Amino acid sequence: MIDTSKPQAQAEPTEFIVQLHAVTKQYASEAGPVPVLRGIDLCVAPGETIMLKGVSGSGKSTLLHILGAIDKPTSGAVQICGEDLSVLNNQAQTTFRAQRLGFVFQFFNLIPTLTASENVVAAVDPLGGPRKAREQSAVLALQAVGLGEHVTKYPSQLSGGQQQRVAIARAMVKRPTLILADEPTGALDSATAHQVLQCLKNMQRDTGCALIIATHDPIVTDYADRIYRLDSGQLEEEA
Amino acid sequence: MSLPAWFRHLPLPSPLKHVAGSAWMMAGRLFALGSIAAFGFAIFVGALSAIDSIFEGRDHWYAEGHLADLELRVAADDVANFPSFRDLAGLADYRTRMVFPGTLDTATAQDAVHLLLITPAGDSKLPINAPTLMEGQLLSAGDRAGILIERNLASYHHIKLGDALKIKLGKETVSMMVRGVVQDPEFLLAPANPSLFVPSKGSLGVVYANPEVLRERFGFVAANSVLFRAKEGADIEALRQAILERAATRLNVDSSATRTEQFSYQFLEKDLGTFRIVVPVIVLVSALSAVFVTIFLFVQWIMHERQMLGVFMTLGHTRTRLSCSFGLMFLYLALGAVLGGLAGSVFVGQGFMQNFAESIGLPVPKLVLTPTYLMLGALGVLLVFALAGAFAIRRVFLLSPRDAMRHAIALEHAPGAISNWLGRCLPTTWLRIALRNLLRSGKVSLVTIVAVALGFGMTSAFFISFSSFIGTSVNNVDKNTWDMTVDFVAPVWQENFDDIVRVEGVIDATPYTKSVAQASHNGKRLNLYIGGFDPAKPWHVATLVAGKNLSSSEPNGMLLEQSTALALGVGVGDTLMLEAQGRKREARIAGLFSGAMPGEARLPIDFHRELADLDARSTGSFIRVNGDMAEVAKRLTANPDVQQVLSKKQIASEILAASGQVTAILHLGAMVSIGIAALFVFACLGYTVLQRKGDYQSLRLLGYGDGLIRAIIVVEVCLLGAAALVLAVPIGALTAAYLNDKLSEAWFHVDTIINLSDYVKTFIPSFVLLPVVAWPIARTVLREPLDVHLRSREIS
Repeated sequence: MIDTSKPQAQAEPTEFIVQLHAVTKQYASEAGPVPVLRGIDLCVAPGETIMLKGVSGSGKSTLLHILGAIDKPTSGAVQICGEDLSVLNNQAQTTFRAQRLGFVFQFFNLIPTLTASENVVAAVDPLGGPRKAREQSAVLALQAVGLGEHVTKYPSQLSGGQQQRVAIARAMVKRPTLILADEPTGALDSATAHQVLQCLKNMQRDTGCALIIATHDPIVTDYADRIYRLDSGQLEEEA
Repeated sequence: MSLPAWFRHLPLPSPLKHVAGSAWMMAGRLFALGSIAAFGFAIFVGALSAIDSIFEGRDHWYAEGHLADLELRVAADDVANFPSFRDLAGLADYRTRMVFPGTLDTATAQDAVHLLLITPAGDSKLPINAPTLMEGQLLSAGDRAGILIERNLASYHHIKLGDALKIKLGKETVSMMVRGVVQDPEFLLAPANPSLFVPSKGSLGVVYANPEVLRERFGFVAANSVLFRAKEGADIEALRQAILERAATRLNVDSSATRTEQFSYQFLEKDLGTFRIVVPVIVLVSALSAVFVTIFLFVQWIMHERQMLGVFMTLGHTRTRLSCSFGLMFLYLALGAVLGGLAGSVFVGQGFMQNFAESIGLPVPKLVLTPTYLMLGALGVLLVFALAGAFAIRRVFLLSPRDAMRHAIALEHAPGAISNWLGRCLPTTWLRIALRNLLRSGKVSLVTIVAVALGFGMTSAFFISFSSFIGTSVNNVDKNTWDMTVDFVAPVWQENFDDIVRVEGVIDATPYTKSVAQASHNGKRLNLYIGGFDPAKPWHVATLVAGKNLSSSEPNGMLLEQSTALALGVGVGDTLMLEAQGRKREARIAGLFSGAMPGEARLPIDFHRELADLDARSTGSFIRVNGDMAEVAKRLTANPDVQQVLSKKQIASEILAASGQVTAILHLGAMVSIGIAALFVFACLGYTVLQRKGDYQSLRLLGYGDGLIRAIIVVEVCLLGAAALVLAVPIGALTAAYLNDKLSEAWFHVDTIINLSDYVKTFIPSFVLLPVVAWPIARTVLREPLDVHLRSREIS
């Protein structure tokens, strides 16, 4: 289980962790600006799981990148935990990601020269603090995802599902406010995908964070509280 | 770096366009690679062309000044007594002259410059040894107070037009005014006084005067030298024999020397011959390293493009077509390197030529790049790139589309136990990443380390060779058991010798003699610088390479410098005919030694005195000192018969100054190889680190700041560089030993002396260089926006 000595993520003074208002994103091209997101509005409460669907090129990754303080919108407001991401400079964005956000990707993005526990420790390294405490958090996080016996293994020694669970542990260890997952089950078989999603939900329950999953995988539907579709740059909630 | 907008309009087939785009994106590294090849080309073509240009310049000045084909030296006589040589077969013309020794009188004896005063004694229809006026005017007929000075006298002793000089001729001193400065083909190299212990460049001056200056002295027009011009295609040896026979009927013949037997001619041949050996060695070492690095980078490039190759293959493009696209890029790179090298070779050639010419007092000739070297250099560069390209392109043929398309660049195996353990010893994650990155792709890291080590090793090798050259010269002087040398203004008799050398502080002294002589063996002739030493007092130690030292039991024994022996075709036990002052004596070669000057030889002092007609006189002395050497030197130089007093340190400096051009080329080699090492580092490390771009982007995603990412890359680069420096130690030592071996063949025996400081000279700049190289690599990683990276899915 997650180290309970650290306080759980508490609800911010505002009701929602994530607030997007009239967010647009355009890319410059020789033929003129190409709109990718048009007037996106979105609010996500703590503990909520949002599924983002959409065809390739619909803007799912762009929206995730804006939410992840990796990219900035052309216009509109992006607030996470009351922090306006559009005014953050590069250094501030990096710090914000370190403190508030967790990421899970389709192809895991683990550092191959670090063991499972070292990969998880890498996520809390930027936050500082005693090394022993960080290592202990990592071990606990791995235990929480059922990989307590694999802490000293390298990614190449783990299966796809195990690697994704290491990635989940890495995302969760710092008790983030928001987890962004881009096709987290894309490289997994169906059974493993369910395992991973269940793991994500368990961790979410423990930490109280919001979870936004961009995916084509229909099995995610069962785990989502709300489902949105991105179509021609516009976001619509599905029933 | 992104592709420029015009790029997509290029009408190229798609594989070629993609490869060209890929080349554009890694332009920095390819430029570094091309520069390495261009450097090698520039040194090869530039230095060797400079050598050819110097020889051609020499031949041009010889032709312009109508240098005599043969000179005959006789005892001074009335020119009217000279036989006519006009009817000799093969002879175009001749003229007589007087070459008289003198001294430029100065305030102190030590500043006095030995001179040769040359006056014409007879006319010739054709110009022979005609000096070229450089400044001022030629002497008008009957001008008894005017002289012309040879240009080296002007430059080495700061004498100029209009200066009034006091010239001592025997017991007489005459005042003369400098009317002009000339260049004489006979003295293209700065003349040296052979009677000095170290005949340094510029220690002999040459002046020209009208015959009236010496007429009063002799009472007639005197001559002791005849210069001959042969007809085109004439047999010089046959002509020489005929001249000697004719001369012997009326004159006392001293010696004869053809153009190629002149000391300056031989010195130039030997000196430039050294470079003809050393320069290709330098280029070969650079070329081998360049092949290695080029293969490495080309293979890396193709592996980086693996996925795209797979895409093209699945679209139906053949491997041959894809290989040709890369091959064409390799060709363009090679051509670019050749063009860059061409520009560089002008720079290198000019620099080498200027440096060499100035160091030996030669006029600076015009540089002409030799077509043969241009062709060979270009072929060499093309060959290097062809070999490397073929090796790399082979990879294309080994790929299947399926293997090429594999998306994830998976680690084949987990880090090993050592990497695991070493990483755990480090306190921070980022240090672990840096260290384990180094160890994870063992082959790539090893190849990178070796490539960079070759660059650093070469640089160290030049410094070691440079130090070895100096160290050997100093050791050769240090091992002598005398403390100082004393050169006299003129040869002194024994009773005067005792008066001169017995000053306070001198505890022992032994005389020596120095002169020139001609050696001949089986039709080969060479001029020798001979030193006569007392075998019973072997204070002056020779670096023997064969045979044994001079001994009292072998009165006509001889030690000969090894390359001179080779030129004469003699060895230990052979006999040589020595000629000087009209005397001929046979000497037996007791031993061969390694010497700094061509034509060095040693004889027992009594034998040498007899040969050189010195009777019981000496030209100098070795002394042993007890006390302050500077004080003893002062006491000795207070004597007006003493020309100069040199300590071992001063002699070593003189010898090094005489070999200044060799040390200059080694220094140049060291500087160039530092540049090449920097390019190696940039080209190899760039690729190795950027292969792991995905890892660094993942860390940025986790919240690692730019500073920390930079730190990881810098540490990784420094670790690779440090490993390369360790490997550079034996590479440097072995390469230096090889270089010294080649120098020993061409110059004198050079011991390989390895000092820590030679490595420090390489290592310290390298430790500064490595983080500097890491900076642009880190910038490449950090400049890529995270979202772009995530979209490319280039993950770890």
